[in-house]
Amino acid sequence: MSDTPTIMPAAPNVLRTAMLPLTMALIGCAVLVALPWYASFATQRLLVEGFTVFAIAMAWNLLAGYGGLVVVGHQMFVGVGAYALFASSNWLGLNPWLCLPVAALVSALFSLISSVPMFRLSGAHFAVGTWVLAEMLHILTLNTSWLGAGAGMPLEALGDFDRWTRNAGVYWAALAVGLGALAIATTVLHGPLGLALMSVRDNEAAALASGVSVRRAKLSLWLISGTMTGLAGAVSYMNTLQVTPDATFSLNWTAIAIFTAVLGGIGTLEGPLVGTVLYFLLREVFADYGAWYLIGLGMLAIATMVVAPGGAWSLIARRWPIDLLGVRRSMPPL
Amino acid sequence: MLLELRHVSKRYGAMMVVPDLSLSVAEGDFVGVIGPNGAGKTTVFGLISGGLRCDAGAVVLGGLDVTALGADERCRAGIGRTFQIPHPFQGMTAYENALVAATFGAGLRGRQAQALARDAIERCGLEAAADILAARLTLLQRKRLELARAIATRPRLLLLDEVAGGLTDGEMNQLLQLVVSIHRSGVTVLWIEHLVHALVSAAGRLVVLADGRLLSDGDPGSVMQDRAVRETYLGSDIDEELTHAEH
Repeated sequence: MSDTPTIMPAAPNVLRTAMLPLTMALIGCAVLVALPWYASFATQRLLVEGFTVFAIAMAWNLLAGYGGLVVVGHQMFVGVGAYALFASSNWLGLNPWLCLPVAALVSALFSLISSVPMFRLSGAHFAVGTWVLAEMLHILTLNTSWLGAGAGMPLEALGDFDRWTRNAGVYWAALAVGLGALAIATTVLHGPLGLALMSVRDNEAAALASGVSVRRAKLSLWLISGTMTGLAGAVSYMNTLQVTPDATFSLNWTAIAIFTAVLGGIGTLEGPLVGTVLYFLLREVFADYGAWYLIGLGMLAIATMVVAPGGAWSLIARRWPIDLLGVRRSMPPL
Repeated sequence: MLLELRHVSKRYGAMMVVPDLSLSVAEGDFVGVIGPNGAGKTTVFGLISGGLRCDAGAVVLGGLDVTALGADERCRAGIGRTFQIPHPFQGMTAYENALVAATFGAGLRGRQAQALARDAIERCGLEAAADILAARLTLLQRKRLELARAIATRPRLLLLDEVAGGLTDGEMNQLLQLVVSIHRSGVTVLWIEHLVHALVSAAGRLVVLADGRLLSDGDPGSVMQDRAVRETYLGSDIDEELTHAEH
């Protein structure tokens, strides 16, 4: 594929929107939605993790792979979203599912405010700056008694629901977050923002000279990714029922997001999807090996960057000419 | 006046590149810009397009002071430019390159943006290469893509920075025809080129820069007879260039 000079023109696009894949997608969705009626709680919880990790990795991938914004403190969005959900639900005594929009709103607001100091930085300073901000929030929560300080908070209102409803409800929320992340990322990249981001990624000076407001494009992306991550973080902690500063603002979140995106392929839409599947496969098979498992993950990430910097997806795309979620725009015929 | 530079200056560290430059360009002008290497021609283009910020002075476009505006805002205000070394969006196709300019520079969406991008690609003779990644284009195609992207922003003022460099005579003539047709469609053109004979044949006015100063300014014929200009170009080159132009 890499040696073919022309990009696959209209044909695959027509195929992509044709009946067969649509039918398959609908059947796939039905199978996933009906899952609580035939799968165990353990399977549901694993999938909740899978969908939320996917959304977080996709958000990180959008920032780093399309916006050139390498975020090391990505866990700050996870923490803000999760704490917003727990705090609003506990204080107002509301149904946690109804508080998910609140979590999204708070995450969006936080993204907007945090962009002011963060966007004054660039490159490595920006990367480290996001980490510092995440640590500041970690320490701030540790010392805030009305957020439960070091012990954190349980999600009290979740106790009002029976086990089946609780599990199924969290699962459906996670499914919505995962599919929503994919839909939003695809829509964004197919739209004007995607065009702007790709031009900035390729050549910032030329993008500016072509009228692209680099600042506005990056800010939009930051808002979208921050909100997506915050919401995924909130749903993810509905699964564990408890937020604590150490876990919720843990660098682990960023490590998982980076690992997933790198393994699958940074700067592609398919990458985080493939990466999430690989990550969970590896974890389910090798997690019993403890420290060796983590060393193995690290080695694999390094090996990917050296041998196949485009990630697993680039290997697949090189071998088979598939353009699953391609964002290529071919010149329309007259 | 479409463009006015008022006592503009620019220095890089200790090096003064443009000490104090004032220049006016009327709507519909076709201005050739020449000068020896290091005369500050590309710097002046940077100051006009906003890629570089002036240390002092003002840049006025159509009566509007754009000195404080960034390059993207100036592009949307009507200044299109090409880069001396082509700066394509490598990971995008030629058509997508033009689409970026039509979407953000000209501020169009959907079909209108697509039509403008398509038109720019066709005018620059890139139809056959439209769906090829910019990274795989030849030098001539990249030069044309610079031009296509610049006109897809729908500029009032077009800044061309050596779009003809490295081309054969035949290619050069094609490009010249293209620029002339763009100018005829109502776009004001400012064109830096080392190939003086090309500018002399097309431009209605010639500006000579040396050490960031205006050495000469007027109709091409009399500028080329200017003594200071001839001395800057060491005489012989210019005679050769002019005989070439008279052919």
